Amino acid sequence: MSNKVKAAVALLAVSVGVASLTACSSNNNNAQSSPDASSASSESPALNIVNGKIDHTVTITTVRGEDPTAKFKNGETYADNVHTRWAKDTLGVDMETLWTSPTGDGSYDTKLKLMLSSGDKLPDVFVSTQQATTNMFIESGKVMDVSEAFEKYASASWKAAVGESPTAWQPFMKDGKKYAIPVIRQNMGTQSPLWIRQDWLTKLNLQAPKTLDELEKVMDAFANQDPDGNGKKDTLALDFAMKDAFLGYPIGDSSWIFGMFGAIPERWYPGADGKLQYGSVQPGVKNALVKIKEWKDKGYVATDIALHDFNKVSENVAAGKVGILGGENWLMVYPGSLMLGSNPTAMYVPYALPTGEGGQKTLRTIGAPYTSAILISKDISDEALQAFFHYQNTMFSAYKSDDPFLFKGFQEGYDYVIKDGKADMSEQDIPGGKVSTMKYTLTGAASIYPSKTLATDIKIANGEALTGSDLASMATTGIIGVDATNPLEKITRQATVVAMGQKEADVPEYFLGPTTDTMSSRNELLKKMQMDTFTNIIYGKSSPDEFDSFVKKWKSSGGDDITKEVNEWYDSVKH
Amino acid sequence: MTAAERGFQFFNQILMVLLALICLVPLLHVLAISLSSSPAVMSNQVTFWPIGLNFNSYVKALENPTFLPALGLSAERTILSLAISLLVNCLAAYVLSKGGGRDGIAGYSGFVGFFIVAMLFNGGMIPTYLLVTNIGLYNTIWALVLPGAVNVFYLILIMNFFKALPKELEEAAFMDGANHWQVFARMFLPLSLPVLATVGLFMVVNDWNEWFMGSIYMKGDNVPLSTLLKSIISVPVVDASNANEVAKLNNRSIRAAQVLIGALPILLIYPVLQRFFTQGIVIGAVKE
Repeated sequence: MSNKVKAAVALLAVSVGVASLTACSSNNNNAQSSPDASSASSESPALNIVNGKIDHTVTITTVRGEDPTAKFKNGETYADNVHTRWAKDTLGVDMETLWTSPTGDGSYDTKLKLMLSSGDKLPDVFVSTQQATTNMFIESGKVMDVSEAFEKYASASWKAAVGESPTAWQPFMKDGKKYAIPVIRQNMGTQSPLWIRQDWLTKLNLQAPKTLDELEKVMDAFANQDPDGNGKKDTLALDFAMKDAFLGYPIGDSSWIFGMFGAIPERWYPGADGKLQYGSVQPGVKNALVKIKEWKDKGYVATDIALHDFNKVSENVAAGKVGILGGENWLMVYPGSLMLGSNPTAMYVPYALPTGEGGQKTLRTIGAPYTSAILISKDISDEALQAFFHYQNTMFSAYKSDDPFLFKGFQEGYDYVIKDGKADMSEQDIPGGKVSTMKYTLTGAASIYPSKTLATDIKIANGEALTGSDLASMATTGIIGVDATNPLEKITRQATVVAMGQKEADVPEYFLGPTTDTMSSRNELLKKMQMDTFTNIIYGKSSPDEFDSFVKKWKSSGGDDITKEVNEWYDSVKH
Repeated sequence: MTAAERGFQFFNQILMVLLALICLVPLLHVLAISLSSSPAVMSNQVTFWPIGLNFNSYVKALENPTFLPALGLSAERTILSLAISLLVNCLAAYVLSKGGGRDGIAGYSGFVGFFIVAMLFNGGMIPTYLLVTNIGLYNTIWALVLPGAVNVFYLILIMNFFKALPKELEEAAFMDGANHWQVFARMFLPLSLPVLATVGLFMVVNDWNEWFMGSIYMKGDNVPLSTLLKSIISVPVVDASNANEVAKLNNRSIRAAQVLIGALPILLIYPVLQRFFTQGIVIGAVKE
């Protein structure tokens, strides 16, 4: 029997080998075809573009992650919809979607990795949302160095948009070359203002706090003076998320709490010597933890705070229980609008963050300036490459136009309908319901030019009249003008303005490189050590001095090595 | 009935009611959520009774253009898979139940070894994916049916059942001039209804719920219901670009509705098959 088993194992091994051989052989085919393509490309002329349309439609292949919030109507799909038809008919760019897969449960990412490791031919252009996966593609050598193509084909608007966030390139660089184009987003507004229940302030006759002391007075009143008037002591003066991590929650951000004590945990940012340092081991964190413990003991924060995550905080907000919290500018849209559903008089108003301990400047985090990466296959034909840039340049042409209805070919009847020459964006007026066509674009997102979209947002927040070019700058989002049916949109923009007033508080993540060697072996342990120590201090299970021994242990268990590696990376990208 | 028996009965019933509640309560909670209004659901007020009763989520769930096709694909997959798997597993089990030696089949232990190795070790995700896509199954229903058609665990279950059937019956049939096909179809299959029902039930439940194959072998708009549900249930990352949609979506209610619709066929099929299945076991027991 055992011989037979061995034979069977050998048989299996052989079949696996054959499978990988076939994979290799298909690689070889690709490799053989690519030199031809590139040698042809160096001589191939620019595309023949007539009135914005490429003569002889060019096909570019792609794959798509399905956004769980994207909606379709009229039987459309990612592969065939009003946007893809528009691109084909007016630009001469035929986007062929090879497959789609949901992003929400990680399937899209799994399929991308399968596509890479199984040696399938890569689609011409595709978007990767997970940094680790993007790195896999960059390491594989199957995606192209985009530096030259971007320089040659990208329009001035697109270059300027990406140029506003030079660090956005950093995660996709290897040996000084750029292997992916970042999808830029507006990150002004991703940092926290202090959101306070205005109705509670008014009821208790309080002012918005400007210092740490004042903040504690307001919290005391919110916790003990029954601000919601239901006769029960069931309100949370302050809520934030700390389950599994302290940072990275768009609603319930805790960075500003630590920031009042001069440190931000779980982030790499320059210290006094200009070198990157890890926030979790800075002395300010100790003081912040002691303060949070004090607040918990006084009943300002929930007793189960260690279990709060994005969903729990959102739930508490929707239930109308939370007085103060940090969160991105859209807090009133979600989960704020759900709170309004059960309590129409409730309202959060964004305020500037109070000054920190001893009147020092408060710090807080700000989101990355990019969301994902556009990867381009090495095997793309020069024609398809130019067609891709023609398509993207057109999307960015909104920033040099003053025609708000620039893209009406694909947006009218979906994002809005035109009534009396104006965009009408109310749900009822659009036949078949309102759907967001920006999710149908190749990148799945609007084409953002941060400073220009920000300027328009500020105008809207201040109630100023919008010019044609302001409206045009919003065209890629499909929201052309102020949606009067949704007053919460305005609060979002006001929050952006409040956040902008404290720009000096913003601390971005400085380390954008791939996971370092020591990180891959040690991060898990270090993170667990940190969570255990911090939670135990907040819950009074260990004395605050435990923090000092954590710092020592962190450094000796790999932290010092990681710091060295991080700074090596930082030195290699900062010029 | 003695006091002790009555006491036993009493505790037995209490225990059964508790067990039934444990199974029922989550379903009731999901039902209540699917029928409630968005703010009530989001602020976690709903337990077992709908607050702000409405049927919007069911309407929305059924309006999703991929939902009904996914339901159809799942049904097709389950039926095909049941038929094919039962057939190939039974055929293999019949042959293997003959055992080795002079009366059995040649290379018996080799076959058993092959099946056992295949059960314990598999090639892993990437080789399997390569195989399935390279033989042209990608994005066809066969990618969902064929890779899992032979399940060695079920095969052994059926084989052991076949082995336990009285050898005399089979010999009598051969005396009367039957061949192997006839013995298999006319005697083994009818006599094995209990095990076929059990294995069939396992297969149906498994095929209905399995989502991973659908997510890697099928294209996004052509997936079985379980895969679709998996992608719907996973919470979207909320950010500035979709906060508005997420707030409007009341997605917990819709998700609850879709989960219930998805679970319905199994809920309906289970009691029917189970009755048959217990009957089968009783018949089998009496025969011994």
